[in-house]
Amino acid sequence: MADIQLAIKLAKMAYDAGKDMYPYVKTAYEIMFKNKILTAEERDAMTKQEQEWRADIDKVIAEDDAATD
Amino acid sequence: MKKIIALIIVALSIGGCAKEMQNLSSAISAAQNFKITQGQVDAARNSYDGFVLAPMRRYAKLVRCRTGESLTLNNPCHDRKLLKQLREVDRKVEAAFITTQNRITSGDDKGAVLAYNSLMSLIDIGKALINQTGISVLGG
Repeated sequence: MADIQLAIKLAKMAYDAGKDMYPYVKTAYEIMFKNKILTAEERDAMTKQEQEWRADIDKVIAEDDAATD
Repeated sequence: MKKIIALIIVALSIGGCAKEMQNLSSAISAAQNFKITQGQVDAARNSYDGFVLAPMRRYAKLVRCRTGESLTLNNPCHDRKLLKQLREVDRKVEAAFITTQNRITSGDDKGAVLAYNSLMSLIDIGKALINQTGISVLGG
């Protein structure tokens, strides 16, 4: 039973990781092989997403720095 | 049980495809080293976001490893020093993207090539650190 629970947990983590990564990999592929050109709106959306992710990471780093364990 | 096995196969396939895409992207970039196009920078940025920044955020979201602990399948956690190192490299990558973009926008082809090559080196460091986290084992 523990093995099954671990397998489910791993599968979910892998699925979540792929879900984050897939749109960017797909866009990179389209730019390289299908001559896709990003619009200003798409670039802005990408910048906004990057800023959100970096803010999330910075928050964790600040929490790590404050932790005493 | 069959569903669980199918889920794992799908998850591992995503990881496998990602590595192929990464190699392909690097090869194409290397072949076009005389002039940097907007498309190359956009592709590099999307690739970086997918292969480094997204996994970095996912890694950060894991609980903090306690002293002496490291990430394992049973104990997914982030190493605070490694996360900090990753973010420091990410800051440099972020700045290098801006520099490369500015060179392209101003029509400085030579400067763009130099900035792009420097950017690629930094991205390689980021990728190496992401591999060190172990998060890529899970499809990131």
